[in-house]
Amino acid sequence: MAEHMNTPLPHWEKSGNVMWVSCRSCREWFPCAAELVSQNKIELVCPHCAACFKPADAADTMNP
Amino acid sequence: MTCENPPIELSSYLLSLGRAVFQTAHSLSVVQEITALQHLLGRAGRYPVIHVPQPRLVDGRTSEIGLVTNLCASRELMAHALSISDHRECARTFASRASTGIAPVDVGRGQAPVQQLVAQGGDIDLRQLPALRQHVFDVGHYVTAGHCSTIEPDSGADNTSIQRCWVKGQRLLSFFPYSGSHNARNVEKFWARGEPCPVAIWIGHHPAVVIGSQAKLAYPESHWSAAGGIAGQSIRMVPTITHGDRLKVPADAEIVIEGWIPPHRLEADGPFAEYPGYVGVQIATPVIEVTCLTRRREAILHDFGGGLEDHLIPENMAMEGKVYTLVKPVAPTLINVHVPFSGRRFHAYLQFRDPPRGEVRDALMAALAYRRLRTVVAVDEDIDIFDDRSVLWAMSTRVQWHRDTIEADGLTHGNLDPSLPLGATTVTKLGIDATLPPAPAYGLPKPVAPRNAVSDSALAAAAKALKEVDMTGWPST
Repeated sequence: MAEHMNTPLPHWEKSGNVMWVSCRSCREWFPCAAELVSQNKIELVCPHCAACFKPADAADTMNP
Repeated sequence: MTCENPPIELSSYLLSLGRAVFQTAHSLSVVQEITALQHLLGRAGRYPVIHVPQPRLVDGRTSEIGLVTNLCASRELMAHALSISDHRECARTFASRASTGIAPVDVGRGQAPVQQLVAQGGDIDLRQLPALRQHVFDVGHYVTAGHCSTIEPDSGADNTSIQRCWVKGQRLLSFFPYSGSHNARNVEKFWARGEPCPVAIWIGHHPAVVIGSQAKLAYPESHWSAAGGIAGQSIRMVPTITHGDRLKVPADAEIVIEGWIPPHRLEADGPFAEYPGYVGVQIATPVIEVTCLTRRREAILHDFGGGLEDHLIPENMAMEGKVYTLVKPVAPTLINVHVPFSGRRFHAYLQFRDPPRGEVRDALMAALAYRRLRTVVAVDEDIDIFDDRSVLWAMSTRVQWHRDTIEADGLTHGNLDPSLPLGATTVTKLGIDATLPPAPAYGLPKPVAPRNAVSDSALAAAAKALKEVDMTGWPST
């Protein structure tokens, strides 16, 4: 799993708050709560193809 | 009024609306098409109730159950449903009626239209409901106007609140109570005992009951007395099939889904297009194992268009009553409150009549304590708080930012705030005093330049000149 990491920003600069996940099956991206991905306990469900997979098995992830 | 009046319900309300209901003969799909209709009408500034008697299901079949949406999209219609002559009077009326209350009454199953048809066990199939998949990114079909009722286990007090529920299977729903909400607290208390939480979801009712049940109350406190007060008559309640007297539901609802929330079972829920106008991301939520589905013979599924006026207006009108109740005791010169659709649930406008020095800032502090609000703007009586342009004009001409704002950090917030920094559990809120300085003495003018105006007689003459003029083709912006 590759990760697009962002460098931490100083507090006066805007930053994002949503993680994006690329589906293991169809590779489409969808937004996900960061803690859901980091905990890696619950299977995600792709809204594009309905595939279920653990966050660690995502094709790719993008941190906020 | 008391319960001697005929019971209020959804179907008779729809019949009473005449041309305010748009009933389409087109076979619209439950996948985005009905929601797209709401988007187009909203862009045109039109908010009829939308009734789709025969929605088309995913498999191409026509649903046996009709669908109504945009039921609450119009403030005018909502005020009418509440017998309020002007929607601008909502804050005071809500505050008064919610505090007065009218106790609910119990009826037996034979008097409960919502239990005309009962399906249990393997006879239940939630996928037969015309639940919509409203927007791009929605993970599935959602019950969007489900009023989820749970119990506080110590007192037995029930709570009811609208929560999105993803239809995950024949007898399985997701269930998303916001963190800190009364339903979330109830679920946590049952789970701490290692027990499943009883739940019943009622769907579809007269809009006065829909909005009345959203009165903002203490915890734990049942909503039914306040709902009756706001609706103007007792709400008829019936025991659920699964939970009996322990958990009751409105007898005149359209559909009820009963079940249990099993302890500590969390599954993925969302994405779903949410009230701030952005997609709510995928999260972990409890689920509901469904034991029973009851409904009217000619049931209609009520749907809220996620993030549209339909979704925001009833909640915002209820908020207006709550904010008025919070602020009025500390600021007697408060005359009205508006929670505008433009600010979703994050902004409120407070209107004052000649406030003395300090009172507006007291009022701002009180209003900012309301969890969902992030920005509160105070204005004078000459500003139309139901017109965003008028409020923005006051902000642009009556505010010095260093002098007239109050910023407070570390306050609670409403869920799904798209601007919240990652990991933040509290927010910064802002109060803006956009009122004019007070007059030095009663009866004297305020010590500022007067606003531009034309005389009433000149306005009357101009109106006469425009009477019956065809304005078609004139630019509107």
